[in-house]
Amino acid sequence: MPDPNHDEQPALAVEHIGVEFGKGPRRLRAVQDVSFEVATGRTMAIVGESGSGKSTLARAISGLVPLSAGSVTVRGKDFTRPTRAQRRHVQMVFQDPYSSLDPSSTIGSSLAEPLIVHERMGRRDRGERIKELLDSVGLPQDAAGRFPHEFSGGQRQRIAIARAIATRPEVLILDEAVSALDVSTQNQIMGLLNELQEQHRLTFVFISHDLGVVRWLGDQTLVMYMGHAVESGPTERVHSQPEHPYSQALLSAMPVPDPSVRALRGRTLLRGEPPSPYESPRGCIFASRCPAVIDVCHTVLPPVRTSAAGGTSICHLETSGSFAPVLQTQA
Amino acid sequence: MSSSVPVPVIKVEDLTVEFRISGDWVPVVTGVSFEVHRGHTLAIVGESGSGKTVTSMAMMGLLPGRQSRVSSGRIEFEGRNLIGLRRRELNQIRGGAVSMIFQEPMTSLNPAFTVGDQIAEVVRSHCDVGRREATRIAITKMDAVGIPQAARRARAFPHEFSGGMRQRVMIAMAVSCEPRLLIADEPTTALDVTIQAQILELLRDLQEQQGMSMVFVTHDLGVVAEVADDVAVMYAGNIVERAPVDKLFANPRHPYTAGLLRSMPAGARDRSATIYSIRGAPPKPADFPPGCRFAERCPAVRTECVESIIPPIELGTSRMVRCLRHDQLATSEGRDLHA
Amino acid sequence: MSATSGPLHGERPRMGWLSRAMSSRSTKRFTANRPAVVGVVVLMTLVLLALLGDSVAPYPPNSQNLDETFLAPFSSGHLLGTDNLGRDVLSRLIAADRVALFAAATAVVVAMVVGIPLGFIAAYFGGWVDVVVQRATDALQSMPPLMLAIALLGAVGPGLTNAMIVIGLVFSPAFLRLVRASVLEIMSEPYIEASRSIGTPALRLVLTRILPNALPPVLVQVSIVMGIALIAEASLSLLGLGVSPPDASWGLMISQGYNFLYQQPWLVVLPGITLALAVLALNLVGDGLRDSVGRGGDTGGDR
Repeated sequence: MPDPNHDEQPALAVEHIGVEFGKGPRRLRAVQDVSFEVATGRTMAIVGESGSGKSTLARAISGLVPLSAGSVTVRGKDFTRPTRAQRRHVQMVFQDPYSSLDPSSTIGSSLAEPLIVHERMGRRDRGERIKELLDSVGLPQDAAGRFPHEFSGGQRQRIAIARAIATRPEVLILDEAVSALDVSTQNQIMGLLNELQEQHRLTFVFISHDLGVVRWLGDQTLVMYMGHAVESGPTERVHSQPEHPYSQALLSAMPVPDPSVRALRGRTLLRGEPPSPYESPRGCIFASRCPAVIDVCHTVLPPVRTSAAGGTSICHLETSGSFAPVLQTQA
Repeated sequence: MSSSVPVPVIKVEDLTVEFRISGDWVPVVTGVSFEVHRGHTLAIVGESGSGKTVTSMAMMGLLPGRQSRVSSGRIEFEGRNLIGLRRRELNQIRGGAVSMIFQEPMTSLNPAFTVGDQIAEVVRSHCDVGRREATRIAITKMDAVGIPQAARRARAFPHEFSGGMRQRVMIAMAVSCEPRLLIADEPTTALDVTIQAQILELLRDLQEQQGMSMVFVTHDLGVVAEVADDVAVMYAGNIVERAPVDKLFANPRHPYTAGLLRSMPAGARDRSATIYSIRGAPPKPADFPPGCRFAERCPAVRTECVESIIPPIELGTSRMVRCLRHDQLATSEGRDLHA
Repeated sequence: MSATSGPLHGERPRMGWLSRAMSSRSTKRFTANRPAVVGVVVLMTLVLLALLGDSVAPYPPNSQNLDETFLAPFSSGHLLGTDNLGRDVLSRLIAADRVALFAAATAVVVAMVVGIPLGFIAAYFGGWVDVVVQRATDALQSMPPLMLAIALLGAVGPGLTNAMIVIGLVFSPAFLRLVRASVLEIMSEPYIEASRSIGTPALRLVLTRILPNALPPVLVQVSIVMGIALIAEASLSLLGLGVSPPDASWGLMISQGYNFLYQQPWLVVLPGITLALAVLALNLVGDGLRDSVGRGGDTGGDR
């Protein structure tokens, strides 16, 4: 349970994280120099496309993948190479509800696992706790004796969430946890997550490629591109006034469910494809596709700029709207 | 008989498709009707299990033979019924005048052949040209869909392309013989949103250049708003509403459509309120109820709704809804139904 | 549905997998497969005969009666006739049945005891361990199995038990590779990653999550490998390296009967048919198991 004396401390602090795989010419920098903090009970949404490194980042924070650089701190305590006991504080919910539960075990067995590993509970107490967990995610108590294949995708995701909160963690990392669900089910699960966050003061790190979901669930948003955090800030600000050209392109690429904006919309279309993850360009990682690129972008790493409306972005250009109109007319 | 109304490129009439489930034939798609005119795009939108993919596969005659069958209805391509056509005649039309692109370009492309060969093969079988000419056309099409260095890339294999590029290869293959109709089944669902924007723009350009009609199957209402002229909303094997795109979004007449629109996450959350979601889940084909299939989840349900099948109700030209209470939704009070 | 005392509802004790297996979808799928059920019936008959053995056989299998040699089947007192030494064919077939099943079981057990742990170790630890195990397996498999068996028997000496142990060794790569592939596949599944993120200790992970999912597809192979082992035993006995006379084995009966093909062809045909039936039954059961235990069902229908 969170210690009231430590409420000022962020639940999760990530500093200059880097994750690398392989060696020499096959060295892949999946995540480079990412830092952020999340206050207790808040949600940090991490958004990006494929190859952005967001999933690797999620796994690095939860300790499933080793860090090559930087540190992770949970409520002030170092979480960089978590011990087994420490793992109870940070749990994960995965994307695919169809394979994140052991198909050959009952739901009860899957829910009991974190309790067996981390708590000293007798069988009866465990059973009670399992019933509690099922109830808190809106599933009937007889679910414990059934198997994953008897449930729909949305229900399985509820089970996965129940499993993740079993040890009363501080932080929940949700890796595309609603992406594989239909829109009605998505909303049901998002509603559940909202409820659980309020009830238990859970801190979320929510990874997604779906900007609509991110806007709803995130308090802060971090935009990732090719392993770098190109922009971060309060969600509303990032969504309504994105400052980094990539964020702008991403947001303008998102289809809007309103046919009347179709004709009016100036859209930033990115040309080409992302560079190979094995390359490490000298300058800005986005230089090869940036519609507002200037010479210095290719040779010098961009500085971190603070936005007046909150948050940061890494870019050579002066921010706050000076190139936003330029980009918008490129349809 | 001369008529001033042009023949639609594709006209589906009262289509019913049955699947063999545990030994019995169960209808999974019932009474589906729509038409698409030259140069227009119809979006078929629905969640999984709605029958939208089955419908698109039925149009191309791609349903698996043993476990499925078209039990009634007509699928008319330029006036000609495709159902019951012999395989050879169907193959002449498929790939040439009517072609299809799918969701997963990796599994739709043959990994053992170069992309140039695969596109050329389609060209040769439909456009009656020799091998060299077919390869030349293939490279031209690859260039037209925005694949850089097309001549060199034509000698590459599918696994050497990224997802977005593979989808472009698929599109090149599909439009290589300038089809009159392109059926696209969730072509951008597996792609990043910035790549999706490029692909949608590409399809729009090709449509303009070639006067091609499109049937676009998707679950994403945002994409529908981007590409569609008309929309057919499918739920549990029925089309529950069909309307021009602007009317559908501005003034939906079926509670399911209204629910879907309302479900789109908009803006930041209100932590104290609950997010809207249509409660429950769609019925499976074996459990379709006798009356309205949406009844158990519908906030506007009345007793007459569950009694018998809801017939399609025409609301003026090119608008249809399967709902006994569609008038309710026309009013502003009705729109608060889901509140 | 269950009381609040006793084993916790939903938390089945680990041996509950048996009761679960019996009522599961897999079992239902298996019983719907008629050839497989026929195979099971034939196998159970053979097992029963092997167990009852002497009490069911009309005569002691090795007792000779030189007055009644080469009798045809359906002769009085000898349902399937007699051989060159007047021994009752039916009794010898039954005795041979016991030999065959014991032989096949031994071989398969040896193959599993050697192959499964090594396959698991290769997959779980990976790296150079995997490379070493795989290359060793390659070396073993590069030689024709029967030749290898004969060579090894040359070293340890003939006899049925030795023969079957050797056969087991020679066929262990089948299990090894299967287990290795199966474990590798399971280890990449998200639910294993989920257990890791929970902090589940390695031993528990292996025993409760990896093995219960990796082993069933492998165990399906038991039946088929038994069929191969049966033929191997028959071959070795035919060559005089397995069962030695006067004991009965189907292979030996065929080999000996071959000398008297013109006098009494049934002496070759009957053990041949019996051997073929046994192997067929094992294959049918194996196919049935494979089709019913396969991991199908979920197609991700929520999207």
